[in-house]
Amino acid sequence: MRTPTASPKTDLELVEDFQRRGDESAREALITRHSRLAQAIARRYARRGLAYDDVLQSGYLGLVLAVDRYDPSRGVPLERYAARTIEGEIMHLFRDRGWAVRVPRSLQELSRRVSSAREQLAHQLGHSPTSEELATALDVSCDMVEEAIQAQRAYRSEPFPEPGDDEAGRSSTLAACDEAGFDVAEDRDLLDRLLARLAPRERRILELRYYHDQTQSEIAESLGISQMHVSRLLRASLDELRMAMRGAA
Amino acid sequence: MSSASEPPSIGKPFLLDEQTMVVEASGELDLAVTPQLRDALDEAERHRPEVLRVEASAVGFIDSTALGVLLAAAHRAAEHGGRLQFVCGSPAIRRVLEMTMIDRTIEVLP
Repeated sequence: MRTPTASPKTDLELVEDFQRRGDESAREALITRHSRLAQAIARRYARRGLAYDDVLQSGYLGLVLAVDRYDPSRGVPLERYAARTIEGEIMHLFRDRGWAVRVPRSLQELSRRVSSAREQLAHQLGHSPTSEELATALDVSCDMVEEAIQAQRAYRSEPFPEPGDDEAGRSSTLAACDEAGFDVAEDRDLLDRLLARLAPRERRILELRYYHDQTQSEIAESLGISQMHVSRLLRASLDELRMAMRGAA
Repeated sequence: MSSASEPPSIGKPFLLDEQTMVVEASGELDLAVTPQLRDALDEAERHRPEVLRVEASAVGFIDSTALGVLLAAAHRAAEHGGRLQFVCGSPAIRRVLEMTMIDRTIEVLP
């Protein structure tokens, strides 16, 4: 058993205090504890042409997002999750400030080559090519392929399904969305990262609705909240994903 | 979380004086109300007010998505020479705004 004078609480304990008991001092403790991570990442990005303070502000926002949305059951340490959300917010800032426009011409060119190589290879191999396969085919490094794909995503905007308003309508699934033109292999990963922005309960609701095809009432019942609330959270979650998607990866 | 305590609400933006548009918010600002907050701020911004004030004295908690919405609105306001004020009744929210340096972009009022 832990004595009152024992070492400071772990991240998991603080997350529990905040997310389950609404203890805001635990939230603050987590933000403070990991603020150096945000600073380190912000410093790295600030060299690319935006003021450090602006970048850091976005980084901190990403950190709060991590603390709010972290789901311990996914088995990823908070620090690693936070690193991703911090980078995500910073990338967002760069895109907002027109960074995408300044994608180097050579990278834009490579993006186009990656796109056509992907189609061609998919045809030849019978599966969506990996970054390694693309790199070999194009005779460039794997890192460059990854970077080209990232650059491409900055321009993407894909629609998300509207939440099914009618209880009977079990049609608008994310799977259907795949068929409707999603580049499945690539966007799975993107979708995963977008979903990671949502709180555990919101993610769970999307999962139940679109992967398990449950009605809003069924979801409401299993979560012990009202159907109205499920509807509201579904819509909000989809809006959130749409916004994030519009900003892209 | 939001099923307990008071339900969150976002008021319709109104003109306080010549240069100030006000959006009133109460309850917990989380993902479920973020779309309404975003819409209200959008509507208020259309008037191009000098000051866009979020009256949040009765807000007890603000999550990261709502923070993001406020920050984005503040940046847009600044582009048009305006500014965003946030009337904050909660010391915890104030501390988060300070910790994240968001108080450098948004004017936090007591």
